[in-house]
Amino acid sequence: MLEKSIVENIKIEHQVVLKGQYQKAYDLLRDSLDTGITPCLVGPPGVGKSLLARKVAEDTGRSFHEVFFDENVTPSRLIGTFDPALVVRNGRNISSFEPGPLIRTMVEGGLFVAQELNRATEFCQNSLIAPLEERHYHLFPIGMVRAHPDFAFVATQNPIETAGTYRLSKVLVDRIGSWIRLNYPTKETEIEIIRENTPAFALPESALDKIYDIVNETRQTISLEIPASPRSGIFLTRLVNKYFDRFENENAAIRFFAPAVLSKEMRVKDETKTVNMIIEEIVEKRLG
Amino acid sequence: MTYPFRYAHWFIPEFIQRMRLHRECEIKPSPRQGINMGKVLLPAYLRQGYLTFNDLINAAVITSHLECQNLAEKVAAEILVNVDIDDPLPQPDISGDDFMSLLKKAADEQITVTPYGKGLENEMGIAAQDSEFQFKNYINKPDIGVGPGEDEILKAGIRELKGIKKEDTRKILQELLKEKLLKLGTEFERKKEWDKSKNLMPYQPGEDPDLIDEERSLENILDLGRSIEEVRWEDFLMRQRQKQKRHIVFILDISNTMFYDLEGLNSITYSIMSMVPLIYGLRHEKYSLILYESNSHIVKDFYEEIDVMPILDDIISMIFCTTTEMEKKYCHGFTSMTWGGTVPGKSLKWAYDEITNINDRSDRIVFIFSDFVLAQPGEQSDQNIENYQILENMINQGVRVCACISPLAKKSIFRPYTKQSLNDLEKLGINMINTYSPSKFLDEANEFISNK
Repeated sequence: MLEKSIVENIKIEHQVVLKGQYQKAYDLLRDSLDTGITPCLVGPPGVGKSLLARKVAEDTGRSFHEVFFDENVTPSRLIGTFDPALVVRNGRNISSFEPGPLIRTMVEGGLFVAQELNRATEFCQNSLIAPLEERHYHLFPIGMVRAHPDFAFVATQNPIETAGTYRLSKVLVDRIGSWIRLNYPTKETEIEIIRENTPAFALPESALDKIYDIVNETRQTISLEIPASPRSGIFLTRLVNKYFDRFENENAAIRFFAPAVLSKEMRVKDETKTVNMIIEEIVEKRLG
Repeated sequence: MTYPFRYAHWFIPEFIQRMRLHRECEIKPSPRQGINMGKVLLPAYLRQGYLTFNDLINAAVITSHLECQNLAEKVAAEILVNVDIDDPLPQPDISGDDFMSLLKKAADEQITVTPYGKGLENEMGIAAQDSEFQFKNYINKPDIGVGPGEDEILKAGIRELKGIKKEDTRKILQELLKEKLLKLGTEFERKKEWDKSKNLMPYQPGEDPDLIDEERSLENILDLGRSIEEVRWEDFLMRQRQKQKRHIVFILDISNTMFYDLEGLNSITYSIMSMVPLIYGLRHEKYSLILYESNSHIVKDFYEEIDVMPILDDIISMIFCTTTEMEKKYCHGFTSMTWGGTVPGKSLKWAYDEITNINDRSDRIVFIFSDFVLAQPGEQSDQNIENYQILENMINQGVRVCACISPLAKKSIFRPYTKQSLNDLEKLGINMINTYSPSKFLDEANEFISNK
């Protein structure tokens, strides 16, 4: 069964609302890729950077490959490695080389998304310079791997203020041609995103407004380093939508689910309060 | 308002030029940004047949680095608002003076390569003409790499050039020395033996082949009795990387005895040549730094998030300082302060408080760089006894202490003063590393950090 599900080329459907900043970012992303510029999407977690990149890959008919960078991602994970057993048998040649996702994408001509590039180590950042600029990579001792004309590279990164991020090296910064910012969407867009991503949506408008208000309030709270993303709004709405009948009213449902959903990704700046304390305060303020 | 595409030919260089001259622009636009602006404008032009105000602003903003995007928007708007579209645009001059001559110049000029950092070419030029400068016969041969040979060159260079008083020349030499020391630091960081677990596990595709333990892999393959045709990747054994939290205190002695020259070099030079690459290699760990003489000077504690480079610059500058200059620098003009004695007590106490506040799940290390001239021969002051007690308490609490000893401490002139203190350190079971050769020191430091 597993084999069957792997061999069938599963197409993952993504609900993308191309409005406001997303439309603009999508256009810029496509223009950048069409003209051979490497774009970087910058925004807080959960605003839809990866989704937008996936959408572009889908619309341009490219395969999609992604790597989430952190300090454990080494150049060999990215580029590939020689299989030591095959090296012993055949020597260091192409038959003993196992390509990594970057080389695979370069050869296939797909879209490679470097997620959270500003968490990559300097060593790893340096290995991206040649593929980005010269569109080739020198694999010693095999030779030069030239990128397919359709090969495209998109980077995403969180704002530099977020903990665990590093500054990109200047050489890499210079190779990234366009910096596209994504912020939290406007109320109308976010509500539409939530509605689109909630199957069998049957909530009254007022409930959706309240959920948005709570999510948005976390973004205005200065004691939070990472507030709630649109993804949290979607998850909260899905739960309230599904189990609405169990509660006496929408406020009770939101009050019940909000701490569990919102606390998963929020991070406090001011350690005198816990995430749950802040959520309770916000819910109390918005629902009364 | 609409603009023809040729407008971009004027707008892009104008924008780049203004951004480069703007004092608030921290990341100056490169020529690549100009090319990218043109590329970004092209699809908009092909779609509409003209360019709009927004297209031009957009191209300027998104191709600028994030930190300069607000400024880029302002500068681009200024250019567009202040120019009348009906005015004839300045035509690019391709007569040869501006364009072709550049190529000719590049072809005619003799290009000289200096072995220094980028952006310092002019200063290098001045230094090259300096009669004191010894690199007239420098041949830009391939780098000799990192190793003991490099150590000797570094020492010979410092010995030869330490006396230079000229500020500019001194700065350049500092820069050159820093470059070499950081290279040693990078090599040290790459080895990172301390980040590799002692436990072995089967090799996984995609892992770094450098992690393979060749000796143990071969043993394993032989034990399994596999022929070459049968060997599989999981038969190879590798050491896994592990992330251990680490807190390190660096203590540097800057007392007068550290500045006594012996055969052209002093203890501070030896200490700094080993300490700078060590700090650079460990810069991603939590570290703190304190200097001491009669007084203690805290440079950085664990929680202060500051760039390592200014700290290293400051430390390297000590190689070229005299004790008078050091006194001026660290007494902040208060000349009545006692300066230059060897009183490590307060620094050790500070290091003790700083490191024992850290949870013992973290690997806690103290490096002390000194010549260990602590007392008169045959004398054991209360202060000294207290210092050893602090060190003993540290060790008892699981803190690992490493004494980085200047080679001069063992020379006959210093030996009567250091014999007792080195013996006492040995009795306490403190690890001792000689700073004579920076690369050997780094190898031993690597081993010390790894052997928790």
